[in-house]
Parts: sequence; structure tokens; C-alpha cells
Amino acid sequence: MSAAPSVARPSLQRAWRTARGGPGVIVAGAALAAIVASAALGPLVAPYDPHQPFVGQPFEPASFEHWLGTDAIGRDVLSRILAGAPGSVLPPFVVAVGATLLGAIVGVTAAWCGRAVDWWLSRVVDVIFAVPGLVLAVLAVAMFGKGLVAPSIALVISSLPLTARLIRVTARVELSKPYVEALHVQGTGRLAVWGRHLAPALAPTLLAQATIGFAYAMLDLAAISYLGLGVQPPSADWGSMIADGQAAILQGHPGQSLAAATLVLATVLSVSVLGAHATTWAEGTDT
Amino acid sequence: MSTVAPPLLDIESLRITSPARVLVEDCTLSVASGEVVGLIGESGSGKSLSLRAVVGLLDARLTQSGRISVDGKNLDALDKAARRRVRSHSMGVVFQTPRAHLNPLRSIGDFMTEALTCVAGVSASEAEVRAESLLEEVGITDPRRRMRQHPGDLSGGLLQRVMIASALAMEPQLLLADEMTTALDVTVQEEVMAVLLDLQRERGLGILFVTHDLQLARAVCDRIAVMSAGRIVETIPAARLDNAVEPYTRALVASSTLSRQPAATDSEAASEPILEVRGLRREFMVRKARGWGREPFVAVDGVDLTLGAGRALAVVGQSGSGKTTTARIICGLERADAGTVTVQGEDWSQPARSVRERRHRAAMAQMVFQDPYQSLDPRQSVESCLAEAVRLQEPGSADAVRERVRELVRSVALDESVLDRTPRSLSGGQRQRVAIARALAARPKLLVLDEAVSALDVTVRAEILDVLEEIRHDAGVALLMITHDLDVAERLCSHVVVMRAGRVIESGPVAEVFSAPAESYTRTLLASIPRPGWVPRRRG
Repeated sequence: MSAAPSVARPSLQRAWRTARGGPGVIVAGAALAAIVASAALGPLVAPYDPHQPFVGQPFEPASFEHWLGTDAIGRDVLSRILAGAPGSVLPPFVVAVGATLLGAIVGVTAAWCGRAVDWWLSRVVDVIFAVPGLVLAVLAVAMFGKGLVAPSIALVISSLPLTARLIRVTARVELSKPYVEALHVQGTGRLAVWGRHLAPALAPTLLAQATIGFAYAMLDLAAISYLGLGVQPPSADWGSMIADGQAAILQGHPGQSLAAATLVLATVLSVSVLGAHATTWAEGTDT
Repeated sequence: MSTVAPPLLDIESLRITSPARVLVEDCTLSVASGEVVGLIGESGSGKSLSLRAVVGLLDARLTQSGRISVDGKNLDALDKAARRRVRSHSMGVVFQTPRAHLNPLRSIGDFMTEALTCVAGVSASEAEVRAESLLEEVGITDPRRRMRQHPGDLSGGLLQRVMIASALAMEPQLLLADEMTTALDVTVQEEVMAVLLDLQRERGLGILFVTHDLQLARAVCDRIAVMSAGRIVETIPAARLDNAVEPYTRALVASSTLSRQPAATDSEAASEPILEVRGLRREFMVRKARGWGREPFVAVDGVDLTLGAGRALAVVGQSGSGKTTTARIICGLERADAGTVTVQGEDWSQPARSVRERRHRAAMAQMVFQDPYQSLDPRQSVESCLAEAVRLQEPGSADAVRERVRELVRSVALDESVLDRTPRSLSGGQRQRVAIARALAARPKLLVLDEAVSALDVTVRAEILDVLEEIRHDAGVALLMITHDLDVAERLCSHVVVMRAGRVIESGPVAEVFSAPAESYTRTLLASIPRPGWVPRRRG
């Protein structure tokens, strides 16, 4: 017992070293932290009213007054990006978490029950899989009106099959391993097998799936807003800002679209990099 | 013994390092024309790595230094193309798992003619003729038909012969064999070895024979190089193995010849049977060999066996003989189609229906599986693994559980320092001890061991068998040993059951069955085990 602290320290340090990862991970972490901070505080620290036209001349280039310039009607681009941040980052997060949780529940139920339940759940999942997410989201808008709530729910439903299938098959592979048979012979209850042995085995897969889900949801929701079906003017999120700036690109002012698109890209990339890293870390903690 | 011709293969001071550590150090070895040189050692000793360095199949992350000469040509001195030419024309390689080295979607004929048409540049029709004669040479009957078949249609023994034939396609003088019979049953191993040695004599091949099986190596090799922890500790003529000087070689020889312990032959009055199996039958639906559809396959066909309390019974037979299925039915991992399993008077013919019943049976009978790498949860530390097993049967205070876990670890001769490690950082032998300790947590009266020592090195195997014998002797745990290794059966068990194609063909006391087998199959099985003076023979 007395030796415990001296042993724990280096392993903690080692855990931190492996958790910290390489420079790519650090950059991604810093970028994501900045994006999350701007989503949380952005609307409060925005230098101008995001909806107020002619706070500057139309299409002003970047300057000290307007860090990212102004748009076609002289609104401050930085303020609009900051104001749009919560609406751009939060829905994909909710979609990713929702789809992962629901998918995990469906997948685990199918693998746990097996037989008829498995068969029926798998068929239902197959049917959902056949419908493209974006089409379902557009359909949801057509039925329930514009805004991000309906397409978000549609995206949760349409991205659930991927997680469900992955979890179902991972669980079945794990269940077929000899150590599960050993637990069976030992008299371990089913709940204990799942809770104590399968859950840790499934966690890395879930984590990886959630980050991929976030990336897809962000891109899909940006597409919805780009199509003008999401956030309605004068409010804006990054997707609608890309669409908004499209006409300006033709006039030689790509600033707004470029800024919004860069942020979408940066968010998706940093979440993917961090997710991949977290997954390998979760898998490798037992070395 | 001075020869003018350079040796076929000459390895000098070979050193292989990974970024983290030295894997092979100062490996010096030569194979002369017409000579069979064995390279033996335990898993991880670096013998396969050395062979792969010769063939040029080392992982790119490993660095090698030293000199490898083939036919007197130093491989390092040659340019890439010339090196490739030497390797493709002067040596053939046979690996452990032929199935993994054959494309399952292409026919045997494609595989056999590929090297001939691509490397030797002969025409397709000539390649076919040559391939046929090569297959004939390795004792494959009706080669024309075989060439149209796919790897999935051939047994492991036949595939290994195909591999030998293809290794000889370029008429090399040097053959490298990496654990080529390890995955085969003993009788099949004997056939393949007979084919190999015939070829060796006819063609005057030099063979580097890498194996972990010392008995096999001493029976077929002229000289033997013993490798341990990346170094060749000694190279001696096979005939002088018994008089080896090096302590490591002596230890290896000692543990590969399992001595029969007198304790195993206790012939007291018949004890109360703890396990009785009567008329056990199990069918599986398997895909038909031809066409679609499925057909029943009888894996276990009317098996009877009886095991007395505190005794040890071996069930031996080749792969596919139904011995593992029998063990799985006894432990409730598989249902029986017919017949009964009785354990201490209770009917266990069908798997337990409830967790309570499962736990009740667990307290009576436990199982140890073949692969210690897969039968432990890789994410769980040894302590939590054992504690979980203890709590199932004896829920108690944390201190009591901890005490019992330590007692279990000691009972399988493990150090307490393994407790906070995960299986990944344990050796195969340590893992199997943990698996045995976990099985003992329930204080069972019966331990079913499904090939529990066949994945282990000989020295480790001997230690585990000692542990098992101690458990049987001291705690009175009856052992049901499922094994293909007759030595293991003889070392530990008083009675034996010989199975073939799902049936029990012979049973009785080990001494009687093994010294005077009544069935011809048992005789074949016994005769195909490598031992001093053994000459592999082809059997009809």
C-alpha cells in the first residue's frame, strides 16, 4: 500500500502523455476550444449588432473596425459569425449525441435479445438506412416548417442505423469470444457480462461513431441552412452565411462565404481528429 | 568434412532490432547441400524472424545487420533485382498456415502455375504439365482434378503438400520451413514429413527446419540450432541432443519428454463417479460439400464415458473427432440432441436454464479453454477477473475476497505482482494459470480442460501440467483432459478414451491402451508421434 503513490505517479504521467497526443491533436484541441468558447460567449462579445445593416460600407475588406469585413448590406461579418455560432455548433452536437445514444440502444437491444427481435430491428434499421438523411431532413422541413428542430430530429433518425448496426455487430463479435463463454461457465449473470465486460468493449466504437456523426450532422445541417430551409433571415448560421455570400463571390468578394466555410471545416476536422485520438486512447488504456 | 562448395545458406552474425529492443542477436547458422538443419526454440525466441530475414519478409520497421549468403552470394552485396532473382530461384519457403497463404478464390492450378509463368517464363501449357508432375511428386493423387479445385476443397495436410510442391517449382536447392506441421494433426504431420524427407533425399535439398517441437526436430534433422531469447545458444548434431552441455538445451530436452508420474497411476478401488456420460449425440447442420443446401453432420455419436471423483481422464483424438463438442456439452455451452450427462447424480444433459442453475453448476464443474489469449477479458486486470469469479460463489467482504484471490494466485504458482496487470502484459503460460485460478475460484469438483496446454511452449506446458497434477492430488479435483497430445494424456491421466469421427473407439487405463492398443487407429495415432528413432512413413 505504501508503494502505491510512487507507482501511481509515473503511470498518471504516462496516461497524460498518451492522452495529450501529438501536435495535430493539440492544434485540433485548441481550435475546438476556441470554437466552443465563441459559441458560448460569441453573441455577448460581438462588436456590432449582427442584424444591423450599414454599420460599414457594403463589402468592406478586413480592417481594424471590421476584422472580417462587411457583407452586401454593410453588416459586420465577424459579429454575424459569432451570433451564428451557437446555432451552428449546438444542433450537430445534439444530433450526434442523440443518434449515438438511440443507435446504441437499438443495437444493444438487437444483440441482447437476438432471434426475432434482432431480425425485426435489423429490417427496420435497413429501411431507415435506405433513405438519405438529407432527403429526410428536407421532407421534415416540408412537413413541419422551416427551422433547425425538424431537420435535426430527421437527422437523428437517419443516422441512427449506422451506429445501431455497428454496435450490434461489435457486440455480437464480442459475445462470440471465448472469454464470454468462460464467464458463462463461471456462472456470471447476463447483466454483469454486458455491464462489466461488453460496455467497456463497445465504448471506443461508440466514441468514434459519435465524432463521425457530429461531422456528418454539421455538414448536413449546413446544407439545410444553405438551401434556405434552416435558420431564417435576418438570423444566420454558418451554412446560411455560405449561401448568402454566394452572390458576392461572383462579384469578387468571397470573404463571408470563405470565413463561414472555414469555420465549418475547422470544426469538423478538429472534432474528427480529437475523436480518432480519443478512440485509440480508450482502446489502448490497458497497455 | 571440408567441402569446396560453399554452404547453400550461410547466416553470419545476423542481428535484428526493433526501435525498442534487440530481437535477434549474433545469429550464425549454415545449411549445407543435402543437410536438414533444425532451428528450435520457444515462441518469441526469434527463430521465425531469422527465417523471414533470409526470405526478405521482415517488417519494414525492423532493421537487420549481419551477412546472409545464399549459394555463396552475399545478399547485401547484390542490387535489388539480383537479390530478388537469387531469392526466387534458389530458395523455397513453406509456412505454418497454408490456408492463409493461398487465395481462396483461385484454384490450386492457378497458384501452382503462377510462379512458373511469371518468374520462370514458361508457357501456360508447359507450366501446367510441370505443376502436375510436382503435385504428383508430393504424393497428391489425381493432380489434374486437384488443380481445378480451390483451397477450401482441400484438407490442411493436402494444402501443405501443395505448398511444398509450389516451393519446389523453381527447382531450388534450399527449402525454408517455418513451423510447417504445427497446425496439423500428428498422423497428417507424419505424412507431410514423409513427403518432405523423400524429396529431400531425392533432390538433395538443404532444409532449414524451424519448429518448436524438439521431438520432431531431433527425428528429422541432422543438426539442431537451439535458440533462446534471440540468441543461438548452441548448435549440435541431433543425435547428441541428450548429451547437450548448455543448461537451456538440457531444460528443453527435459521438459519435452514428459515423464509419467507415479501419482497418476493410483489404482485404488474404483471411486464414486463424478461424471457419467451415456449415449451422447450432437448433430450440426453444415453446408453441403457440393451445391447449396445443408446437411446434418454428426459431431458426437453415442459417446459414453465415466470419470471417477479425484481421477483424471483423457479424451484423445484428432481435430474433428468430436472431443471438444463433448466437453462443451458437459459444461452447458452446447445442447445435446440425445443421451445423458450426469454430474454427481444431477442431470446436466441440457444447458442450465437460469443464472441460478448456471451458478449452481459452476460450483461443481469448471472449464479451462484452449486459447489463454482469448479466454480472459483483455480489459480486465487479473485481480478484478479473479475477484469477480470469487464473488459469484462466495460473496463476502472486500478483505475476504482479496485474501481468496491471493490464495488462488498462489495455488497456481503465480506471483502476486501479476494481480494488477492485464492479460496483454502476461505471457501465454501466465495467462493460462490465471484461467486455471479463475476456474478454481468456485472450488469445483470437476475441471474440464479443453486443449488447455496445446497452445503453450514445452517448458511452460510441463509447469502447467505440474500445477494441474497438484490440484488433482491435493484438492481432489477430477480432471477431464481434452487433448490431441498423447504425451499429455499419459503424463496426467490414469484412464483414456480414444475418439474418432464422433465415436469412442477405445477406452481403458492409459498404460494398457498405449502399450497394447486394440484398435488399428490407436496404433496409427501412437506410431505417428515423433520420438527418438522415429522415421515418418506414408500410410495408405
